[in-house]
Amino acid sequence: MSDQDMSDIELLAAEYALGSLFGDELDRFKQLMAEDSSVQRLVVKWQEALVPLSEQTAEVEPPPRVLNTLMQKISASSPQTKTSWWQNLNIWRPLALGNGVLSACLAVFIGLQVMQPVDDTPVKTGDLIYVGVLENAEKKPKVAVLAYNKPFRLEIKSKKKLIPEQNRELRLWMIEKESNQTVFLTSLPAGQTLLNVDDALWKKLKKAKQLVISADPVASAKSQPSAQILFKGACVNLKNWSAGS
Amino acid sequence: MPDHSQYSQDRLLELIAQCALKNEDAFKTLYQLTSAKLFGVALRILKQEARAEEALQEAFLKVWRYAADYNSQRGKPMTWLINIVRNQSLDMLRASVSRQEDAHTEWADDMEEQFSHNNDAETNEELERLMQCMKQLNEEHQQCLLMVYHQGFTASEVSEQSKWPLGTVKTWVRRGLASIRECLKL
Repeated sequence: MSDQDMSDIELLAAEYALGSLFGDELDRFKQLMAEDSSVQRLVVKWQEALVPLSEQTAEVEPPPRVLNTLMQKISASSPQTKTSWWQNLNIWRPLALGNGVLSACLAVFIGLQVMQPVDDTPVKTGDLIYVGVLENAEKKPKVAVLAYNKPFRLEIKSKKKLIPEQNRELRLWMIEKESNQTVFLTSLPAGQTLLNVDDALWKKLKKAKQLVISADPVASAKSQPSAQILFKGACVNLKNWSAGS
Repeated sequence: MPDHSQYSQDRLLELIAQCALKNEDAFKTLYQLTSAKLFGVALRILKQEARAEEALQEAFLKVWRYAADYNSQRGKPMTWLINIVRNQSLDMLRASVSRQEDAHTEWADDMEEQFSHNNDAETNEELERLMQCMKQLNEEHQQCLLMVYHQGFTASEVSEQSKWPLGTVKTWVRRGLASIRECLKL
């Protein structure tokens, strides 16, 4: 096979992944990559193809001072580096797509049944314990369900306010981990984003593996979502992670 | 990608997500799981421990800052981490005024050693496939690709080290990549 069989862009992507681009050529390609996601995808394809070469490089333990310096630097920088919740949502997307891959982490601790509206005081990131990333039908992450402790609160985040059509209401459901059954949790007040959470259903909700938001007729039965499933996705217990699972 | 027991891709994904939420414990764990491999990558390119330490440190600061930007479209977690370290190391290497002094003069031996590692160390399917494809290249093409990938040589530097003409080196790099593409069915 000749290199003429590869497009110029793919050849550049391959050379970038290999590390052979240099100087102006490298700068121009970086610019191109920043402007065109299809170029980024080509680069990732080549990086994935070549990375086994690095994977089999011999491990060398760095001296402890590197980690010590890093921890000092990130501690000092943390107040200035807080990311937006939407950025955070993007990072969770692979988890939402995981569908059981992260079995150790998929416990939901959200007592939703008796949520009461509270004010919209911003919650502190440090209190965040559970995250659900819900995608729409096009598999795009649209809603984050965040659960906080001390006290227990639930926050529904989305780029657009969640307002149901007339005579419909938004309902939050869970899918049980073992039985795969869909269980009604609560109705979501239109436009309400932050709610206090009762812990009465705590144990029950530990069995949840996914959350679902539907838009159902107000008078419809709550045994199953009866109409549109708007968003669906996995929830992750962050506490398990920090415990070194 | 090898599924090392000490850092499965899922585990790394979790830790990167935690870093996005500014969890320092997760960052520390991520470092402890991956730094030896990543330091090896930096050291291979930069040759000097002090500079490799600097590259590793800068790379992990980028991981901390940009963890929220990571998603699966940027590749597997370990691929993402390795490429942050590689790019940091390559940037430092190319910014160095003493670039020529860094060049490894025993490159041929180094390549031999590389292939020895390949044969002995890994059973991973993806690595095996890649190495099978590399072995289908002629020796010069292999050497060009590995000198660029592992040591960060530019085509000019490969040419200087090997005494092969610059145009020939560029052609071999491109043909080597094209052959790998065909072999791996990319």
